Amino acid sequence: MVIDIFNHVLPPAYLERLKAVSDERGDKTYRRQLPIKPLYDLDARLRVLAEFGDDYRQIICLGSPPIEAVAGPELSPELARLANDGMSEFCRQSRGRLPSFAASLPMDNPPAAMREIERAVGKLGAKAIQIFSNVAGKALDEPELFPIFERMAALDLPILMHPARGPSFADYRSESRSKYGMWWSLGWPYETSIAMARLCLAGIFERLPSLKIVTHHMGGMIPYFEGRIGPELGHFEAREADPDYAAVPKSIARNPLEHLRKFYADTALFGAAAATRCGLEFFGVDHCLFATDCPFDSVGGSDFIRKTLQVVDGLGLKPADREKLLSGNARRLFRLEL
Amino acid sequence: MKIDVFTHIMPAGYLQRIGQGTAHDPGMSKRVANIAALHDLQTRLRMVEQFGDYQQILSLASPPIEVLAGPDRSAEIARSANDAMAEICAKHRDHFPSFVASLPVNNPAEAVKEIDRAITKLNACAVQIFTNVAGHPLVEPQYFPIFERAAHHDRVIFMHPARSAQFTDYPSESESKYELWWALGWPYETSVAMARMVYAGFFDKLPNLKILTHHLGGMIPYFEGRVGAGLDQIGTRTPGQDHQALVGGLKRRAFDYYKMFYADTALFGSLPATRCGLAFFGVDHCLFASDSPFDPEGGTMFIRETIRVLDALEISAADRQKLYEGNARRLLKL
Repeated sequence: MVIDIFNHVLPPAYLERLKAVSDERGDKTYRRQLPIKPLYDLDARLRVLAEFGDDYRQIICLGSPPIEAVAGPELSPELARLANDGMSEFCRQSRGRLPSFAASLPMDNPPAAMREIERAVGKLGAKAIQIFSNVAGKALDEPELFPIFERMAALDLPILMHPARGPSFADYRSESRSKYGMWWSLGWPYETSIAMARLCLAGIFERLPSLKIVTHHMGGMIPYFEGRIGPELGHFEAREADPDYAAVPKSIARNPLEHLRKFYADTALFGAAAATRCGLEFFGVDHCLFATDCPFDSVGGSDFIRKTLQVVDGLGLKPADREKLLSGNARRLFRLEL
Repeated sequence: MKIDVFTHIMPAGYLQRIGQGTAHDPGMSKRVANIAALHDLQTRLRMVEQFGDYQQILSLASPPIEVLAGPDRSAEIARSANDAMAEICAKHRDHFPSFVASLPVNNPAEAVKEIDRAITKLNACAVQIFTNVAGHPLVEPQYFPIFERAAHHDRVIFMHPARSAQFTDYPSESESKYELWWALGWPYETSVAMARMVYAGFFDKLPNLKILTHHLGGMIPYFEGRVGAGLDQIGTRTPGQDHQALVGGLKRRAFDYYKMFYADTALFGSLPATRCGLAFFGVDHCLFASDSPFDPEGGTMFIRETIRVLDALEISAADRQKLYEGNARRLLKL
């Protein structure tokens, strides 16, 4: 079996509400999604899955934009409920092809987010939550967000972390916008890496040892730049005057890299074989999960699925490790009975 | 012979001259003072000798000259840096066969003159630029003559990343924390600078342009799928910008141009990452470099670790010789 753990949908009722809220604000971000039918049309989606046989399943989650980027804290709980009801319905109607979903949360309203976790996991059958690498511009290590991590650790269910950044995050001080899609193609993996480093250095795994966070796109930049994190960020004593460093628990400061390996990572690298090997070596096969980012390729989903399967086939893994990567780790983390 | 192509120095005279410039940045002054091999030539020579059949190409350490001085003074500072590096190389050719010239990039007319002077009079083997010019992208038209001139001399441009803590990671914060602006922001800078050159058509305009990217091409090799299959859909995600029109002006698929860059092995001891970068650029486009002396030991650790990684790569002896020496001799005309 193949379980694709990070891929996106926009259930129809949620999409209608997203359009209305976005139009009110003059936000055109959602329009890019409209030509991609497998996002919101379940039959179209299941046709994409059918190309890959009965053994290929998807755990779905919501597509960008993050709810907190389109709605304030008053409206975000309602949008999250709509999204989760819609995803739950997709799963129910999928004849087993979509075994579960990662719930969306109103992250800008932590009390409502806590209530939505209970509803989504307890009543709707969600087996994970999805968060983004920042909450409307704020870092994930803000204390008000900690109860969300704490609750997921207690439930022993994973958190999927998706990157978020918009074109208004300029790449150069002299410019007001990011050009040529750099904000998502490279800015998103940067976002993921920073969020990982911040959570790790804030001691999240010290406080919640059983917490499981799956980072999209194979851990952002961390595996490729393990050398820059290792000896340099590990050299904290040279910087003790800095209050940021003074607050880092000593056990982490000694070796941040070992703590960064506590994250999980997915294989959504769009067909990059050498990079997948590099990421796999960093996180280890027990911490890597198969994912494709379907349907955000140029043909509505099947291209990234095919490319990612090809990469996994070419890794030369032992059968037991291959099984872990394709489905075993997902079964364990998401506590699936499949 | 192993030729380490990207290593940094602060000649003592140069350091004195810019002393005032570093005063506003106590972190940088402290860092420089703590690393003797950066400014003390005897320490540096002893360090190089420890590695036997090993030489270093010298280049100036951060900060970029254009961050220290405006266009009125940058040319004079660059000249003094280059004179000092030329003198060190002339005296210690066995340790330092050549150097990479610094340029007053914020004064393009002077920068072009300094390229000519450094290459023809001082025996510089290449020139160094940073990923932004005091906050401006390198593709702004006023900087183009610099690229043109380096290509005219058929000399490699070394591209070093630049960013400071003031470039924040979150809109809700005023500074980047934990030096992440350095650890991760620098490779991001390199990647975006590469992409901007690609889309500006640099490689169509200057077919023999050779740019060496520090730290094995920034994020590009690991995210080849995002700059490839991902950015093939350019424009679909950003409302209000006509990207197709810009991309349409390129002679090839944008992705192909990224492989025209060169890259160095300064990944501080990561074998899996080095394999990934090498698979992307190919062995003819990769050069041995350590980023010495910016490691916790003051210079020796990154050299030793990088050699360990290169020795462990599953490649032929001929390919390893290219990485260590052959490519450097060819590209830097040593």
